[in-house]
Amino acid sequence: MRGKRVGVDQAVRDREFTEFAVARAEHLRRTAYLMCGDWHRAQDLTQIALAKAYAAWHRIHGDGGVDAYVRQIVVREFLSQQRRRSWHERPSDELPEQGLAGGQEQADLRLSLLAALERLSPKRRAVVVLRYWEDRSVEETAAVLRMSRSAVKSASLRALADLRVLLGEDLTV
Amino acid sequence: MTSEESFHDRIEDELAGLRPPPIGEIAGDALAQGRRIRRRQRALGVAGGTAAVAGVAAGALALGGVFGSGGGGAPVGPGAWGAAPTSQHSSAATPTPTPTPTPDPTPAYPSTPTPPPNSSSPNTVIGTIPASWKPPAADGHLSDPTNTDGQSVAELLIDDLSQIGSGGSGSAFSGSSLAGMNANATLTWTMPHGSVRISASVSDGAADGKTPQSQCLPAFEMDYCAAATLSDGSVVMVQHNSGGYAAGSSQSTHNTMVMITRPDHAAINVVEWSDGPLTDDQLYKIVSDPRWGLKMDGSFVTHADKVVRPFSGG
Repeated sequence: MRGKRVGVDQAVRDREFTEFAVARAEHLRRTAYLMCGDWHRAQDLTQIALAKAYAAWHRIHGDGGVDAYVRQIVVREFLSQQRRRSWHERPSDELPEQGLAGGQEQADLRLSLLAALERLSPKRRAVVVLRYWEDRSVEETAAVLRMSRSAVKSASLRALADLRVLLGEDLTV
Repeated sequence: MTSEESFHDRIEDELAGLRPPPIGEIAGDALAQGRRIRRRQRALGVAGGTAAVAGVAAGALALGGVFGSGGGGAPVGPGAWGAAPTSQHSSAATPTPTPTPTPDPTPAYPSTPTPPPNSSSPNTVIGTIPASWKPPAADGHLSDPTNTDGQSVAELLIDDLSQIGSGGSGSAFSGSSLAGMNANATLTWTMPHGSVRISASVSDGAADGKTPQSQCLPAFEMDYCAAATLSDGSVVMVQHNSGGYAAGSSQSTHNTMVMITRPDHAAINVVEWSDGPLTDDQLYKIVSDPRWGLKMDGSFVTHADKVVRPFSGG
């Protein structure tokens, strides 16, 4: 099956890819933003994922796997960057005591869900985004994050508990 | 409404209230970047080689230049602080390697023979570690062991860069350290034939209790990977990747990482970004410098702390 795709004409590849990228880029960027909390970085993550999808198009196209492929790259690339950034930034897994994110209006006393997401550790944030934004199953989330199913469940529970603390409300999920 | 829908809708509502920057021509840019990746894959695929060593990607190395922290802008390098010590060890330590007068002319990629892409990881070309890469020479004892800090890493990196013949000067460096765990530095090294953003890190390779990765496992995230265990037990890994775009720039980045985990568990990692002109061989010469360690001689650390300024981070 893959062999048939290897010889795909570049013009066809370009057209198929462009159609996919135009249709999905905005959603991908939002997913990336939920994880990294920065639009420019989200744009970079999205472009990396799309570029790698183009390079692998003959293999992933036709199996309905392009979406899963780019989502996986976005998540893994994000986590990989976090590991490298940690050399410099040394984030803490401890929840901060203060509730408001920098830059928020003083009048906005309620922490937004987006701001609360940013307070989670990268891995837990990725779990939440995959499970509740991308609606991925435990199994799919585990595959993307290279975690066991039980680890995904555990991380998900802990992330939601963290969010409840941060939001000061009984978050319904 | 299910619980997931409730959560999803709430995020959707909050996202709708944001004003993200225009997404621009991301499809076209990604297509162009994807073509470059494919060209590189093909170029690597026809280079040929022997004895593929399988290996894993410890994670893609893209965008390091984009997100790596930049520190002060003062020039750094031998010329900037005079005669930097070429060895931080006592007289019993290993002599400083003889400087190489000219850069290694071997291009980064062709220097590493590569077999055709591994069919199980079509996006990652699996290569081999050159036979010329010998284990680090035995090191001497430190007369005054002192925790390595970011400044020390920067100074040793500059010294190594000078010795491999890539004469130049450094600038815009930053770094940090966590005693006994990690020390790192990032700087821009400007040479007559180009500049490179380069980062070096030394860390405790046994801190996570895991065995160093000595094989490249199938993975999507990188363009090229090679790994091997050297005769002394050191584990070496090389990764190439096409990175993302620097913020506000249309220039994509390329990055190369060479890492060694020695039998004493010291893990030394060097990454260059932005189409850096340094070859894999040159990067290996840096990481295989036996002077790397989480402790260096006190006099070297003191000297580095004096001359590597300004310095941001830990």
